[in-house]
Amino acid sequence: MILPPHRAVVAIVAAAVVAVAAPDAADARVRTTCAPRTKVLSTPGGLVVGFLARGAQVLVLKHTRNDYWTEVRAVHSLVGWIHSQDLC
Amino acid sequence: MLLPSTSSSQDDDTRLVERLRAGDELAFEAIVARHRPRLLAFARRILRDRPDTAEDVVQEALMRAHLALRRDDREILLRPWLFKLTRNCALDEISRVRADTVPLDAPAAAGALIDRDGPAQLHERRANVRGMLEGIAVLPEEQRHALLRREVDGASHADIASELGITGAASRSLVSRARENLTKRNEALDARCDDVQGDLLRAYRTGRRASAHVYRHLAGCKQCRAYRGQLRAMREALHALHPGGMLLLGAVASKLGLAGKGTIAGLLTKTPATIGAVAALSVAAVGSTFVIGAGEPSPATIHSPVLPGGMVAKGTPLPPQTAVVVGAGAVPASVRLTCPASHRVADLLPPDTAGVTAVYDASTHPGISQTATIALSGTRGRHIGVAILCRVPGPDGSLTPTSTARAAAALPLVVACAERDYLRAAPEGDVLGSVSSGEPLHVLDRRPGWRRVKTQFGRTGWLPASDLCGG
Repeated sequence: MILPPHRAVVAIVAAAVVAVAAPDAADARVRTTCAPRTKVLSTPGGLVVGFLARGAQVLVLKHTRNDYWTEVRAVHSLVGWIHSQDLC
Repeated sequence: MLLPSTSSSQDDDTRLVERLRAGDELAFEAIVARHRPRLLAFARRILRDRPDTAEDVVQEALMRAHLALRRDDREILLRPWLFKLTRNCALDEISRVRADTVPLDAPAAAGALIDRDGPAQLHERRANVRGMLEGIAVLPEEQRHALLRREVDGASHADIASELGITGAASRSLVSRARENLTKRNEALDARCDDVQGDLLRAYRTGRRASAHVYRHLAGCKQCRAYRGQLRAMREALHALHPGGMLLLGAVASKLGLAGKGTIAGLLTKTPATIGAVAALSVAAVGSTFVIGAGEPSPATIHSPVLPGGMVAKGTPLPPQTAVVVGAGAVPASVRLTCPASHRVADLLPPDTAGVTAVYDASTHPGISQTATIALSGTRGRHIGVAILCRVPGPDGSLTPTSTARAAAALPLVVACAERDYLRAAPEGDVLGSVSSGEPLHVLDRRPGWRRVKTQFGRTGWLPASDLCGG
């Protein structure tokens, strides 16, 4: 498909914006744990499913309403909840 | 020449000490003249059966005092310090001369040889005296001084208080504590070694400090000290072979049947072969697992919503329908821990080493799986001890204690079907938490397309009805 010149320019600019913005957006969700030992729970108040060493990278998935808990995806695809204050 | 003053004021003593330290030897003669008579009486009371040695003892104490006073400029309360020196010299003299020998040239020898008591009674009496002196010798210094001055020298509490720079009430308290300590020491020494060794074993298994009673007994019992040494050697062998050794000790001991004091007492007499056996088992433990069942001491303090009361303290028995499975592995590794029959995987317990990441892998579903696979990451090659908590699920499939399950039993039961779902404050509302596939849920309320549920951990929230099975 051949786009008219003005649309092609718009598309190129849009692609460039997405290309630049996307890594930032992704980076914003990647966080590091600062607590010496971060406990990962199956759900807030639930079972312990993991312990992360300080400096472990996690991908933030969700926050609870009060932002006290953060759902993360960690190493070995572990998904669980951690105290938000354990993140740097 | 300075004549000895009849005044016993502290100021005079202080001036004499200052003059002696300035090189005036006459000042020391004044010190001797002032204090020697009372020191001599004091020494004679301690050395009741050998008054002839009291003069030597006082002479020795005064010589030590002279040297010490010339050696430095420390501030000193002369009178109590001299009494302390004399007392120490007298105790040295008592311990130097063996209590079970009587010099044949001593006047007491004849009496001893024709003592009305038999040799057994005589030996027992001497052993008692020796034990008491040893007990006095290990008392804290102030207690010892106060007790001896009170009991041996007959000093008033006011005198003792002035010597030690304390109040009369504090002096009474010191004497009282000294008597109490001596009594406790005697009781501890009389304790049966079996009991003490049982207490030691419990202390080592639970990682707690043994009681003061045990330590008092150890101070005077070679056999029990040797037993403690063997326990320490076993622990060190385990620890050297495997950093998780401390955690594993209880489990290893259980596997070896060391729960009973009689068993370990017999086993430990076979050292070092026994220690080798334990160490060998420890090696086997790296890559193997141990189960600590209900009723056995918990290897750590565990907090978990599935435990009655939310926790179990280290060393206390694990509650019914609960087990801890212990294993170990070297980083990077996956450790598989299997719960006993009918138990399900609950919490992962903290690894025994800091700086390690330990997580359940994707195949482990807490509350549903019987086997947990724990992925370890961190410094390569490190051996890590890991453990999981296991629980028998209730009739509703919940791992939480029966009381909670019973309270919710009247409610309709469903199971989460989606791989992972969010519990919400209201339909389409804010996220409160999550539920996993297979998790039992009690339905509290219904709305078109939504169900308000209560999780096994007591949280309530809304889930899409389409993500629920059963009920």
